Amino acid sequence: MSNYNITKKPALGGIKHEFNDVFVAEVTDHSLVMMAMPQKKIDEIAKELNDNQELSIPSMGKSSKSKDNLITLWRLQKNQVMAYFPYENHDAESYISKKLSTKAYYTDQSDAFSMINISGKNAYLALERICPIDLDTNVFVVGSVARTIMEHIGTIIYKNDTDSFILLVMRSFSKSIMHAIEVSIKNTQ
Amino acid sequence: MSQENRIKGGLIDREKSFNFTFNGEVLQGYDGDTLASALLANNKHLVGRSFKYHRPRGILTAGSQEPNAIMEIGTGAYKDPNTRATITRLYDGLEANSQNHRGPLKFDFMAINDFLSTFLTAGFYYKTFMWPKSFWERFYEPVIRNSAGLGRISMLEDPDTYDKGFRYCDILIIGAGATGISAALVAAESGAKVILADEDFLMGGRLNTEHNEIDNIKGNEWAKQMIAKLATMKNVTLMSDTTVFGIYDHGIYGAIENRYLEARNNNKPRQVNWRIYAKRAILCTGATERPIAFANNDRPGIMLSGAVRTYVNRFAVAPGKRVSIYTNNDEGWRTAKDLTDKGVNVVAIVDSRDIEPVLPIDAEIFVGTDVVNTKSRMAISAIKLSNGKTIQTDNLAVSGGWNPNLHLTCHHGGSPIWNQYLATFVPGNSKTPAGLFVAGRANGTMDICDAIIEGHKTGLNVSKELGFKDVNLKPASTDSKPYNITARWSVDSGKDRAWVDFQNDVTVKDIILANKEGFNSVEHVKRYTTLGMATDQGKTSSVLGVGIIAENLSKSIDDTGTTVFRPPYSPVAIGAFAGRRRGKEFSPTRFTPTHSWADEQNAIFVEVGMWYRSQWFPKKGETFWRDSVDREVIQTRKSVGICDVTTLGKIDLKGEDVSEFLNKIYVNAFAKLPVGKTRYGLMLREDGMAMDDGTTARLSENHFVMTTTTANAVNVYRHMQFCHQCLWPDLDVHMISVTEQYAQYAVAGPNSRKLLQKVVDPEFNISNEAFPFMGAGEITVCNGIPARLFRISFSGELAYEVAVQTRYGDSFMRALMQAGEEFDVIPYGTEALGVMRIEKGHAAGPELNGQTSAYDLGMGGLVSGKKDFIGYTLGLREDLQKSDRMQMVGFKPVDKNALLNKDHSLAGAHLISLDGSPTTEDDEGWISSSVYSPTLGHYIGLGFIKNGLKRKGEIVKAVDLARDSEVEVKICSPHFFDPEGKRLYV
Amino acid sequence: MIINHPLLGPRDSEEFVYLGSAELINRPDWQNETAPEDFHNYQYIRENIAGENRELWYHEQGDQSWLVVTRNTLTHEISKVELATEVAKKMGRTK
Repeated sequence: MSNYNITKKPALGGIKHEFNDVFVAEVTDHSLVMMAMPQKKIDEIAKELNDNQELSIPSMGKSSKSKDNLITLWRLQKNQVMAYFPYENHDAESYISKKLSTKAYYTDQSDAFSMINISGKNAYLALERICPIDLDTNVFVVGSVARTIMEHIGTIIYKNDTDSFILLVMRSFSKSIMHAIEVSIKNTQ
Repeated sequence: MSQENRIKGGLIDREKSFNFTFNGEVLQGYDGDTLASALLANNKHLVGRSFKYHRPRGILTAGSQEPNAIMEIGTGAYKDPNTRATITRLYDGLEANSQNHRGPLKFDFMAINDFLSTFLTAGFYYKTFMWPKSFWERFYEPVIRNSAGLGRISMLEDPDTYDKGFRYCDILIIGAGATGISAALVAAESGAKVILADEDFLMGGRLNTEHNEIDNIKGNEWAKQMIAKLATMKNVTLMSDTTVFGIYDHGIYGAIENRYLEARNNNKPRQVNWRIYAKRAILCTGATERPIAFANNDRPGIMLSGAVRTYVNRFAVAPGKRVSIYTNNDEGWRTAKDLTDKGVNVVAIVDSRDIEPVLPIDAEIFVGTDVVNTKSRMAISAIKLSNGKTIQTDNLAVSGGWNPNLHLTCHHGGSPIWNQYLATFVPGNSKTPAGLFVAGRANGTMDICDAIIEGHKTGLNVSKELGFKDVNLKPASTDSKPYNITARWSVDSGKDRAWVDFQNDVTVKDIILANKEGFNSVEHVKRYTTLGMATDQGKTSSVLGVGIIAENLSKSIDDTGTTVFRPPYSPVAIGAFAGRRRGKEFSPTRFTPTHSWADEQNAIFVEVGMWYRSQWFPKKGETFWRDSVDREVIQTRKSVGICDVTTLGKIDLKGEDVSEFLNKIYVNAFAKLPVGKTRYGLMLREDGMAMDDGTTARLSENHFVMTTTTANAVNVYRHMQFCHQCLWPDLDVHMISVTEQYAQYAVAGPNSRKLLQKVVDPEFNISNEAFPFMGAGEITVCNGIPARLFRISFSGELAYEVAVQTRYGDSFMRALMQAGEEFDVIPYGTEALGVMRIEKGHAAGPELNGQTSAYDLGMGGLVSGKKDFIGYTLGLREDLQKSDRMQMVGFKPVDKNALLNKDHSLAGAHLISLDGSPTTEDDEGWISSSVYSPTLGHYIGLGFIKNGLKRKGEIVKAVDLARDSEVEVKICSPHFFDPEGKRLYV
Repeated sequence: MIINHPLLGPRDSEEFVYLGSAELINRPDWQNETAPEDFHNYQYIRENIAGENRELWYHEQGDQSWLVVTRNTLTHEISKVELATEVAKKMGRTK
């Protein structure tokens, strides 16, 4: 037994804000694991994902969900897929790898990113000030995901629901992106 | 009398009255006025002074092309110079001041220039201030600078904020006049996503300023209804007070949205710089009227004829009490009709064409006649005609014809083409931006009836081409209003001057003089005379100038050509381009996992790229940075210190071929690195120069983790992706950045193991035997928290780097500090880190400067000769092997007390032999890194000197001319401290 | 500028980083007799093309793929965008 116990801390302290009809909240109850797929094994991986979870490898810029709706896969790269799922322990990598495919490589990314949910009818007005991706409801439909740059910060944007987006930035940028979001909301209200 | 020139009607809200000031005088206007219309309503015709001759000037136009009525708006930090009164929407409390005069507006002392005009001709500065040469700096330039420029900036920080944004559409329609609205209606109906933008705060274009009947209702009323209809459609975005200022590649449009009225009261951005991504765009920007050049055509009270209609119809302002008209086209007659309809007295119509009257007007009519001169300096009082008659008048409306606003069609290098029937340029066919269509007057379709049909058709065709549904919608109906013109550029003015460019004071004489002196190309005339180079960019003057050049040189206008239009279409505040990126927001900031903890320790932070890192941790009583840094070094070497090294780049590499891949990118061999070991690696660029260094550990057969320097993390990752994707695509290698996944801390010093043993879970044996130098492995700490441990050392001490998931970073640092209390552990910052690496002779940024090879850095022994790797072949080039290259060695002062009482180190000093002099010829090298070593008690340095590796023991001079310092130094090994590395292995 | 990414569709050039000529894929063999000459040409000798040029762009703020972009240096018109990996494989690059 070590005499020292350590505790976890969310990047933004679990921040929750309400600006009239726009809501901003840090997502703290989900984990992220990158699944890398060797070229030669993609078919086998696809089969395992389907057998285990009824999950498909999504097409680029899109996502797919497991049969229990808990695991979401984001296709951000040709040979890498990010798994986004409700889980809070520090062993997300081994937890999820058992549920997916044995042929892929897994890398925990839960701590690499901070995740911010922006929602509300006018959320897109604020995002229009920082996001160079077309967020039109017919173009960036629910389930779409893109990696882009906002305010000089590499950002992943995922549309998890109608009028609701999750932004992911490298954890060290948390304060800067939060500031950018708040300024955008203020400037559009 | 307040607003003595106000008449009935107009699109202003008489219920909302505003107070504003002009040069301190309080005046009234209405909501819906521009500053210019409100000034005219109050009979203020004299509004400014011209740039060069300080001529009294009045309002010439009613739009963004205005050359004369440019003012300073606001006071204090809010003061905005060179603002066009003609597009400034009036608000309550607006403060306007005329500019470019010394003394009051009516008695400008600089008006002496007007009487010296004979001397101030084109090229005056080039010809006059050449001699004597020495006068330039001392006399000419200060005087010229003092009299140059228009408005004055406040010299204070801009208190307004600016923002930017991104919008997407299928069809962007630029200009919301009759044509633009017609295009928008059909495009919107087809289902296309439409943005309709207009630079005016009131959409409708000239429908708001003319008398038209569209679909049997008043034109302005039709515009209002159609805009209201468009506003209800989900696929339409209306952007009024928005200027599309430039077209960029592949359908990107720059647009500035003005929001200053809302901004001031709510602390909102004054302007938004939009980047609009449009699949197609339709340019419906209408046309701009031009003047005719005749003697003294610049007096206050002389206006363009279309502007007169605007003031009368839209703003309900009579421009004068006895108005006269001078025209070369039919529209001048319409001005007369609108004026008489409103009860304004028109005294004369002068048409340069020998034609029958276009409309029956109750005024003196002169056809085939020109205006040849005007009278009265401060405001026009009479005009003189070519038939010798003089007519008393207080306002002259001039129309020299209309020029399509085709600027945006030229932004990709296109040239407009001459149309002799319209006596103007129309959009050309080549090099026009892809996806841009032009309709209406902007396209030379002058009759409103045809323009509406063209707008409609273009909207329909573009929508269909994009795959939207066909729309059964008819274009709006209106009466045809033919436009007939016969070019009239200038009238013989004898000795008097006739203005072409009002803002830059360029006259017909200047152009003729430029031609005489051999400047025949329109581009040369522009630069020699400054024609069209003012803030209005020649919107009213440039075509007129071309006409005059052609006439003077007896060339066709086709052969004369035009100057090039470039973005921006009209002036854009620099602040709008900067947007939010001011001060601390110039770039984002990155914080390490220990930032709040370090802040509690009173750490001094330093910006390293975007990162904030702890530089040192001052303790009570320490007043000078070296007190803290020396203590941190001594305590680390004596017991133990901890440093946050999270900022180092970390890349996880997985796959069957990773070791082979590492072999290709590092100079040294990695193929046989055993699991549980880490190795130092040096990466070169293909040209053989060092790019980056770091360590790579093998955690399992197919899993490696690499570290890079903080500065090169992004570049190295990009380089590795290049090597994999472009050079060796079949290797099974998967890279992912884990820089931010782990909080990583260096624990260094003789007691580092003892400290770590208190936090590492007991099942992991980290004794010297079980976990030797360069060991690496996955462990757990603090009761089951996963961690990675590396036994590597930058400080030269027994040292480890330990990484935990970032979520635990803050807590783990606190645990380490607590566990280290019994060893008097200290945190150390980047300065102490730097001191210890120089004491150990490790190369870093100042040494990896892009010009140093592995050999130069003394790492030639590391280079493998048995494999291909990036930089291998070119690294073997003969010149890179020569012994007289600059090689990295150590330097220490001969006198150990040298520099001790100075506040600088040896860094930056150049190395000269003892009998040499501090000249470029005798320069043999330089000191790249230098610090005071608290361990050794004197300054030390790393540096480069010719053939250094073979010159150890030699004494040279380190000369720093900037600091006036010269120190004798001895060339030595760069490993100043523990050269055998014994401390690493204990 | 907008680059029509073969996997992601049109994306703003702000997301990309430019490297240089796609000739950089054609890295010489180190064991050739002419290797010093080959590498010299590979590293330093470039055509200064006025017209269609094949360039390497990296989608750094995107899917991190390297692309071969065929761009007209006179008009900026982009006529073709390919994944560099596929181009490299077609050119015979393997391991």
